[in-house]
Amino acid sequence: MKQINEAYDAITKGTASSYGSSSSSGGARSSYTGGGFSGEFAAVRTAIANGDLEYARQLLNEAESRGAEWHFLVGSLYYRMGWLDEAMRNYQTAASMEPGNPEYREAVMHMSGAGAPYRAPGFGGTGGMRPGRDCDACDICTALVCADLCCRCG
Amino acid sequence: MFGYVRPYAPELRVRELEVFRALYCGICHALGRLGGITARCVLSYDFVFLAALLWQPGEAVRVEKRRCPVSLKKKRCCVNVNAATETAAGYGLILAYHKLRDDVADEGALRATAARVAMLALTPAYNRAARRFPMFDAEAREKLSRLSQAEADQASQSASLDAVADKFALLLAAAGGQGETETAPERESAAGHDAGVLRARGNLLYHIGRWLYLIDARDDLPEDFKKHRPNILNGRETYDDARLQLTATHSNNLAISAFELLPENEWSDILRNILCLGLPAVQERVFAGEWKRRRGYYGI
Repeated sequence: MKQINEAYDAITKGTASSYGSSSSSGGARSSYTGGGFSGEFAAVRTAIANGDLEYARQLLNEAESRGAEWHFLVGSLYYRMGWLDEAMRNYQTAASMEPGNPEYREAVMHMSGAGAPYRAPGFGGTGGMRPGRDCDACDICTALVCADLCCRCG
Repeated sequence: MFGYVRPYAPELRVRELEVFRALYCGICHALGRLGGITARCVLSYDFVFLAALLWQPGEAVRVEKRRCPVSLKKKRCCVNVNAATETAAGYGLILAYHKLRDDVADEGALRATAARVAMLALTPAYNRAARRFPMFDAEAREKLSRLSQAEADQASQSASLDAVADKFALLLAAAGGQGETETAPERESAAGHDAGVLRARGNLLYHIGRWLYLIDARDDLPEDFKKHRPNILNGRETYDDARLQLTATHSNNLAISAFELLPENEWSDILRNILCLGLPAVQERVFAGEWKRRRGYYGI
């Protein structure tokens, strides 16, 4: 059960917590320290990450500054609620207010790709309905064989 | 509203197609037990999806031959009636009844009269289903009345599409809950339900509900526009097909993600076909305007 909840949070969040808290993103985002949230809307990010959506909504409603980050977090809140169209609008607003921000850009790209579904291996990235399929072990092996034939070194 | 959630038959194995049909017949029998021949008339593939989703992991599928009221000469293969088929039949009947009730209130004179007649015929079956599943019946009443209110508020076109679709989606998500059981041992086993499973299933059904609502609205749009009937997409300049397709596909994808977190059961392969192939196929046809006059569609 714990594993389902963790996997579920990781797959379906796509929100402030996964875009903002990643310690692997290095120092690119000055608002965030490794592992924790900081900045004006830290409490909102924590609330969204913990699934406390009502509290996050209340904080956002009470916020005085409604800049790019506010729109991004409203988008994240809507995403968690399943209001995908509203989430997209707010992410786009945030990205247009702060075009250089990679977090907002990633969010817009994620929504523009209709989310990438977690799918069990074997069912195909395109669902088998359209031409083109996932790369599998055979493709890699074939590619290596071809590369070996083309590049006769030594 | 019904019939959009179905498998893509060309990609089903022969045995999967046959057992899917047997589940369809099994739910028909469950409806018959609940409310006789009139209850059987509301059957649709969406109920089959729900039964397959609610099927307990590890529970075997038993198929038996039963007499069919439609083809009296020939006996058909039916899946055994159990908690999953009974629940799907009950919930489907409750939803169908409330949908008819809304049609009586919202539709024009001719359609409203037809809906009223159907409602009257279905009332005894509905009452039995409502007594058997009172919690879902209460949810259906509340959410559908909120949905009607939200649709009426949409007249100003200023509120969000998500806000309206959310009402229907929440109703479907309620169908994925612990279920309502009669006997004490069943209640005890239901109480032990994995909270993670309930969460994933609820989210899956939420996004299926959202997808269903958007697809139904888009499917009805050309006719509603011609006959000046209310449709939440009517006159919305901010919504074009591309935007609507994207958001519907996103809900489909989130449903798939939630599904992959559920434990496998006897129907997982068929459910995967429905989510990964069936829904996109239906969506493609709806947006091409071909769903209502589907000829040559590889149906079940």
